[in-house]
Amino acid sequence: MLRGLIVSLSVLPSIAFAEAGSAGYYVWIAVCCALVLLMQAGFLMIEGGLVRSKNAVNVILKNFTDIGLGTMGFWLVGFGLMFGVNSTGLIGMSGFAPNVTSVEGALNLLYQMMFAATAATIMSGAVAERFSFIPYIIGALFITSLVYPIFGAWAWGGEEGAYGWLKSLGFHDVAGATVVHSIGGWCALGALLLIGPRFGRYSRKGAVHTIPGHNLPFVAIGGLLLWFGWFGFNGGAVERDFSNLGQLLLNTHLGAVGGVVGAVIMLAVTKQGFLMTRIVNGTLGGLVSVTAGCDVLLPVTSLIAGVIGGLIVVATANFLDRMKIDDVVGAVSVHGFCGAWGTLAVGLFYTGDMFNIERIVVQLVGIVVAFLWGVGASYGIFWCLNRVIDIRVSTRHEQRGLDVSEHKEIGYSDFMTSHVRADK
Amino acid sequence: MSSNNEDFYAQVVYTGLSRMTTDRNTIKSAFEFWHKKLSNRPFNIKEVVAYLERYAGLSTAEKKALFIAMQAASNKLPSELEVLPGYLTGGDDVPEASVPVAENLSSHNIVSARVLQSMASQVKRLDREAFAELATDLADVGFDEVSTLTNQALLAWSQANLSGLALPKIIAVDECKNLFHAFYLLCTELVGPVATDDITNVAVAETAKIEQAIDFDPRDLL
Repeated sequence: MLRGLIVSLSVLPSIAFAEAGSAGYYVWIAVCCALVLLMQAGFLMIEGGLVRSKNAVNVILKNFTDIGLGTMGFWLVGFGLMFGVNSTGLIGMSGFAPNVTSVEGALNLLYQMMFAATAATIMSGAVAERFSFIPYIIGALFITSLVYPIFGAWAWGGEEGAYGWLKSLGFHDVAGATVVHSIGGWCALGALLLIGPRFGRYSRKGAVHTIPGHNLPFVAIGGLLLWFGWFGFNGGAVERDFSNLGQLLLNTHLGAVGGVVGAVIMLAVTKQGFLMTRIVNGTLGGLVSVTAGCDVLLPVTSLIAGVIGGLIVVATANFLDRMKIDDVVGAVSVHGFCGAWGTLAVGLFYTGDMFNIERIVVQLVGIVVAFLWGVGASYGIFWCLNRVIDIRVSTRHEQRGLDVSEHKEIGYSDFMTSHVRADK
Repeated sequence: MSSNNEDFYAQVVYTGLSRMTTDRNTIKSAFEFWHKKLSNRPFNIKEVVAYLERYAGLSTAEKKALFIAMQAASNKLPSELEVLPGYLTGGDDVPEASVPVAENLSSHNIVSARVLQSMASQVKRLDREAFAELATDLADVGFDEVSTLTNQALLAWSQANLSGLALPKIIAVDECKNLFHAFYLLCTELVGPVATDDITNVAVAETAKIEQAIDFDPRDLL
């Protein structure tokens, strides 16, 4: 009897572990959904902090509403386009407005909705302080419903035997450096090319006027929230048996660490001063740089990818400034350029198969296609919208600030009384 | 327009103005404006009211009073209307000599001039080169959004090295807002948006202390 009891006790843990295997996976994915949603708070704080106080409500509200409208659009149309039956390799043709009830189906849908919201919200900060609210949310709806899912269908869509065309080539982007971040960054670039800089940012006589954000502590906290949330963003790519969870999380963290180092080095070299805004963005650039390959990179190559990401953030932000492209929060640098770099890094640093030319070429194809699709689609959507409704606010509204002119709310009413009257 | 008709319409305009306000200086300024700009055109009450609204910044109540009084006067015979007082025909009972110039001006006029003057002074303190450019740009370009009279005032201001801005006596609130915005954009071009916002905030805070700010809040310019 005693022997029987011992045998039973020795078997119990393995039974419990087996049952918890799938349950644990679902719980982890649910946690990842929440973490990715928390990233929106990070975006919101960074963008809110990097604009002038008279535009804080506007940019924060854009972040809020694009989660709502964007994820609704993705549920309605985008999910089907991205993950529906994809016999052509171009777009999915089933699964629109899915009514899934299974644990796995619902969690997968929820997780993908969070990704879609991330792709949309990247743009809001770049075009802040002059992009009208209504056209912005309409544009965000198009991006989450069409632009993001169509590229997603190419890179992630389909199923065994009928994958998206990029996936069929062997394109690797495990957590969306290109699919989510580059597409978001390139959409921002398309919108920026159309809408132009904030008035006074670049004078007609060539002067560049810096417009610092109103709350840099917000920016730092936002950066840390994003760093924290990124464990869910990349961690959701975990295998069912959790065999690669440690690798995903460690590489994610090392990417961020590398981003800090890279940004600091670049700022020191360019003698710009150790700008907190650039270092926070460098961290995010590092995180984006390991997002495509956190499952196939080693810790050391993740660190290298992150360092280069940090360098890229600072260098490309300066480049865009020289080109008079007024990206308020550095979204194009962080998400567009670092997304492209991170995707290329997979080709360069793929563990056990480094510098494989074939893989590098495939990754480059994905990078170029994402650039053309993101910039082109975004430019086209906003160009069309601009025929119907002015996407840019008037200079008078820019002067007054979008909080008052678009929302009749003041972000800091206690100490902005000398500015404008919200009741007018 | 015959001389008789012009005399009659002058009486109609005077009657309207005198029902709208008892302030002789306002009546004189508005009447002179009508005489200079509109007396040679076919008489149209709506047009007269619209022009005076634009250049004198009339309130809704003043506009209504002016319109009704002119409408009623235009249906009367010239003999039934009041004759023009001496201060409108060049007689000796002109009150303005004894009245300080400031009393001629509306609150929004004084407040607007003070805000712009303060902004210019701050640009001078901030960046002498930008200040010199500000004066040059004002003289060279002028603003499309404001009247010729206002642009002339700005030209005079720039020639005086941006000191002692005197806006036209009759200027509408909307024109003051346009003027402020155009000036704000010019400052933004020269010293940048953030410095311009700071300058504006200081100018508004300073101007809020003057007496006329009770009638016209400088924040209403923004």
